[in-house]
Amino acid sequence: MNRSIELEILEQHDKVTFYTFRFVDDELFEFDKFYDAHDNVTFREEMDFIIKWIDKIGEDGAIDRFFRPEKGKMMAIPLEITDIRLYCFKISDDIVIIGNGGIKKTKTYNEDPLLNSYAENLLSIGKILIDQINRGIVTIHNKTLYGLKPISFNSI
Amino acid sequence: MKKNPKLELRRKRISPEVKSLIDKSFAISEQIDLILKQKGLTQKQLAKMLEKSESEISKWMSGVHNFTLSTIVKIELALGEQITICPKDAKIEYTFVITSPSSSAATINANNTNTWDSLIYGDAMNLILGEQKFNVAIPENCIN
Repeated sequence: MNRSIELEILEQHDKVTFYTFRFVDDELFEFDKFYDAHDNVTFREEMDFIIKWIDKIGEDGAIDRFFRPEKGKMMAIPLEITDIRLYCFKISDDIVIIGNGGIKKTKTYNEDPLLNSYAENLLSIGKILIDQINRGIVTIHNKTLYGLKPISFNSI
Repeated sequence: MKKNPKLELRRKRISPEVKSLIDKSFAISEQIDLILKQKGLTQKQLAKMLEKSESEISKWMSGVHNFTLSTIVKIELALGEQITICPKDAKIEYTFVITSPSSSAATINANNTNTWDSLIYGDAMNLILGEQKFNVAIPENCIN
């Protein structure tokens, strides 16, 4: 299904700007959907870890070893305490797109339709954005993306 | 810098234990990374030295690993370097480059108060700690 998304800055930190995205026909941004689904008593500690992780990455930079590699530049926030996954796409050491995520109950995310859609959609968006950066349509200056327009792609 | 209001509110509720755990885990992984770079070693080589899988080492280096003391000791022995040090055992050596009124440099062992005698109250200096440089003035109570 062809859908469009728009990117927006989630947070700016000293060394990293975190973006998230929203399907133009959706009300909420993908990170907000993840946050709203998991900010509860059950996942209190996990959310503590994730927010603190965002802060540390923001301080230190988006160094590869802080992420769990998934596919290409699509990575996940690694949490040993649980199988929760929050998918990210690293544009550079100072720009990261945070998408949606959830509990990984299968061996690979591809086996879970929901996680597969979160991860693969983010991967598609990231690839298109990298292509736009390479072609000079989108530029990076001071940890910020300029020239952003809605991105259309075949979503899962 | 833009901050998300929802996350800002949530930050206030992060448990002190998680905050401290991640701060320490990041610090330990950064120290291991530094030693590996200094020794020209890769994570793969460290894995081989410790008879661990590369994915296990990756977890350690992620900044969110809950290290056991046993793991830290094994890494320290394999690398031949200390990763963590207790404040009691820490010996801090500061290098002061005096920029005013003289430009002479002095290396001062902070644990040896005798070496502070050469400094003059009010001197402005650059304090170099590792690769970081700070501008400092000598406080009055530092000099007898």
